[in-house]
Amino acid sequence: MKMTIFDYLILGAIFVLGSSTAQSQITISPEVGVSYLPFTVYGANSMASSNRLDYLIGLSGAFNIHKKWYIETRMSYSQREDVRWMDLCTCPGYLYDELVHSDLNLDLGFNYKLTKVMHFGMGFMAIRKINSYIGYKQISEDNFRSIKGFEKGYFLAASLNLNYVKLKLEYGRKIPIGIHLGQSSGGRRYNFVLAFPIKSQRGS
Amino acid sequence: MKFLTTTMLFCFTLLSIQAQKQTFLNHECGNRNLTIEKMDDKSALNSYLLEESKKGMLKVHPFTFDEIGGWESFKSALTEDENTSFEFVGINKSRLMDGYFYRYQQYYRGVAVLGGGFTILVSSEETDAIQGPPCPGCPPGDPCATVRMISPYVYEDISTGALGNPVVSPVTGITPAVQVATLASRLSGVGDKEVKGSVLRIAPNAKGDCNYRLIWATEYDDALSGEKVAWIDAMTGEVILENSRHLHKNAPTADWGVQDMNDSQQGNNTVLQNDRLAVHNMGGVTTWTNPLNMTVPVTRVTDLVRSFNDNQIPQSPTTQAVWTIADAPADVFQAFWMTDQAIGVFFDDLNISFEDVHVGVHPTARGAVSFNGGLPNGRADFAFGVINGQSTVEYDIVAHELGHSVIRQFIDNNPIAPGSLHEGIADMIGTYIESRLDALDWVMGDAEPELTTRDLQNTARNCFTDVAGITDIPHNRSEALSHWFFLCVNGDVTNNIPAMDILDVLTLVLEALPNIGRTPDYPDLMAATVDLAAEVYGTCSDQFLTIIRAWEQICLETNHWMAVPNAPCVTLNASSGAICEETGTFSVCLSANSGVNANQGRWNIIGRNATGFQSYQGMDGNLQVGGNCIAISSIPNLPFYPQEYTFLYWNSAVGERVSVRLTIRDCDGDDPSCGDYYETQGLVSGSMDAILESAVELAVDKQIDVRTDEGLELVVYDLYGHRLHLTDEQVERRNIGRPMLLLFTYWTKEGELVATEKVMFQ
Repeated sequence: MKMTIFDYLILGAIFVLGSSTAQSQITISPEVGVSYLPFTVYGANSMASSNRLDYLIGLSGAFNIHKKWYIETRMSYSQREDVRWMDLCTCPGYLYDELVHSDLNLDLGFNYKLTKVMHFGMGFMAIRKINSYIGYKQISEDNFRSIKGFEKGYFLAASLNLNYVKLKLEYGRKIPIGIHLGQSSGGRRYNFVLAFPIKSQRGS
Repeated sequence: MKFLTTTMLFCFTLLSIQAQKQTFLNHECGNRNLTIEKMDDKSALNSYLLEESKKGMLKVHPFTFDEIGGWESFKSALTEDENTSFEFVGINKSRLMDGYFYRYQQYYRGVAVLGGGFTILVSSEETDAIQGPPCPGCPPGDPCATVRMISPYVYEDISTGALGNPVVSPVTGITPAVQVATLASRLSGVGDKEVKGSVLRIAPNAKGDCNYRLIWATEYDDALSGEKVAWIDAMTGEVILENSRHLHKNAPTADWGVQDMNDSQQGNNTVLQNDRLAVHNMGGVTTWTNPLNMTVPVTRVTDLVRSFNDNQIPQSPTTQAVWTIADAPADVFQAFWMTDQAIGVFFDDLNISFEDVHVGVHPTARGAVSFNGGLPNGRADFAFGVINGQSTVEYDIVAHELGHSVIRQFIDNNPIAPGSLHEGIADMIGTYIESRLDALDWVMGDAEPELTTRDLQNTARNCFTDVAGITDIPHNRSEALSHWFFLCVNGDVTNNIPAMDILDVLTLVLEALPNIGRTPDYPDLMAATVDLAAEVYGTCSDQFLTIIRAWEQICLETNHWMAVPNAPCVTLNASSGAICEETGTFSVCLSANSGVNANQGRWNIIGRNATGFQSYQGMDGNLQVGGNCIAISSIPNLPFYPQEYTFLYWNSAVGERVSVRLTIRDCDGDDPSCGDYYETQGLVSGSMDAILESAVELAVDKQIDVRTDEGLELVVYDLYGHRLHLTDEQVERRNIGRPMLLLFTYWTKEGELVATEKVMFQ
């Protein structure tokens, strides 16, 4: 698989955070929240939409690189709404198309401490579909395929850092890979997350 | 920090802009009929609209242009844009309604808007009928014609950009020769080009971006390719569209031998494409990008949704005399040949015009499909593959899929209720068009075993109650509807259903589509077809019985009194087909076998001066309570003839209003017609002297010689019988309202009445 700059950035961050030196300076935070990823899937002559607010659980790690700057990575999980759509066609035995999917989100952000409480950041996101498949069901046979590969994008974040809890609001956009007439949407993601920092020995 | 914030905002703005690039179809632009959609009480048209929906064909209570305040008032109801005007372009007789469709072209600042305008259903076919500006003395045209239905397609919000000064060829200050040379230089292709003519047009959404463009629609003759038409952007010089002529080469089809292709020529090549149709050989499409951007193998025709491109359109050198299998598979030629014929039948029989059909043919993908967004008046994509190795390129399947794009104009695909109507009506269309081009059979796909379930005659589920609960397969849910069509066309002796002409049934169904909303179910279609059949054929007609009894047969209750076996036929019959105003009396009666208690009924008269009618039983305004008949004893005086009246009858035993429309005529020809009335208004106006002069002219026209030696005396009476010897001042003092109807009488010296004339005085 061909590696991109984006992939190298993700791997680099994992390497840095995984190193023993970094581990001692990391603030680990379990996170819970909600994730909103509205999308519409267009079939041949029908469509299906989801506007559901999904739960999100995850774990993040923050690592200081400067007095005012720190890197934060996060791995989180959201189960997305499964959707079905039914095209009108002369296709005997055809029942419906279906998308079943859950997201494993990998985020890498660069954050700036505007004040002790107010932080802003931006970064890269990668979304891996897990336990996900897309295809169509027929009376006689099904034709479903597992969804593999990463979707990639960028995000903006603002956070409010209180004593024992951190409130984060994120807005992310996937990088569109080819736009066609009738191509499905779902390029925007909104997360609202409560993080509970667990201080490291040397703090952050 | 500012730099950081600015950079972040810039990056996301750039991404947003990139993500929003999209190609729009015409109906997605939302720039049509804006004024009508926001119509309120101030609009002259508002009180005449009979339905809430302001989309499609608008049903209206009949009105004349006078009643609505004239042409300008009508135009204002269609668009508030003062730069927009309309011009009458033609008349077509309605196949179902009593009237004629008048078509009007939209202009914006004098430039025609492609596809813009409106159509009205008018009662009259007068050659000087309602034309609207530009025409001398507009309005009135024919002031007596009534408008009965309106189909608007008016483009609005045409603003800057569409009408700047064309830079490619300025409208003024340049000679035609230079214009022609300038346009010719923009056209690509081989050979010398001779521009034969060009006209400025406004093209809405020519490039799928919902923008109006000022274009030169240019006809030219290419030395190699023959006659062509091009659209050239008048602002940028970009050639947006080029069409060329046909060559009609023979080609081998899969099942029908060698056939003549309605193809065309582009440069040095013949292409399997013409002005309204292109066929795509999609045999090379083996993978597609699914909704999650995954590249997966093509297994069914729906997978071809984003795989159409112009390189797939077969072509061969013009020097090659015929098409061969080396140019494209036989199924591709068959698809082109069949689809072109089907499009022709759509136009000839159903008045449906397909403008840009693209048909993809795939050798292994399963099924056949009409892709989303495809409409007859825009780009419409279809794909045909195979089922169990057998091609789906058959007349009925091709027409079925084309039919989806017709139905899509009015009905959504989802949920399953409208989806099943889609499939059922598409099967009707497929069956009809196959019957026109081959032979009538009731099995879709004919020999394909997996499609034999689509046998309209022998459906497994013949009742709406059998299919109403189906939630998975639209084709299954459509079976009862398909069978209804079979029952209508074939008839059913056992259940006393008369057979009806197949085109009449299909026309009724298609006519019903604009009137049932976007997500209808069987009962909605039933109600609309029953209403239309009653209007077009009458409730006692065989056609009406066919429609309602077939619905009852598939377990849908019409609740119409005629649905009951051997039901008495309640109709209204006039004492005479031609009612003369001179007679003064006539009657309208219930049919003899109506079987209703007449005392529980009531009669209403609708029309001009309807409260002026008197009946022997007695009228309360325009209402008579009870009676088997409404026997008219006195007809009100009316300014002109003929006049139309609607007699309505309601009885609780029937539960619905029954009506008959009558025409009262001037049988002895002594009263003005509607046309005379309006002409006379212009002729006889002004002072009493003018009236007398006009009276003399009328007398001369009627060969009543008032200037002979004997001389004739002219005596003028008003409607009340008062003899007028009055000056203008005296007329004013008598407070006689204008316009008024005067009676001119011509007498000999001996006191013998020679002739009379009724004349309007304005």
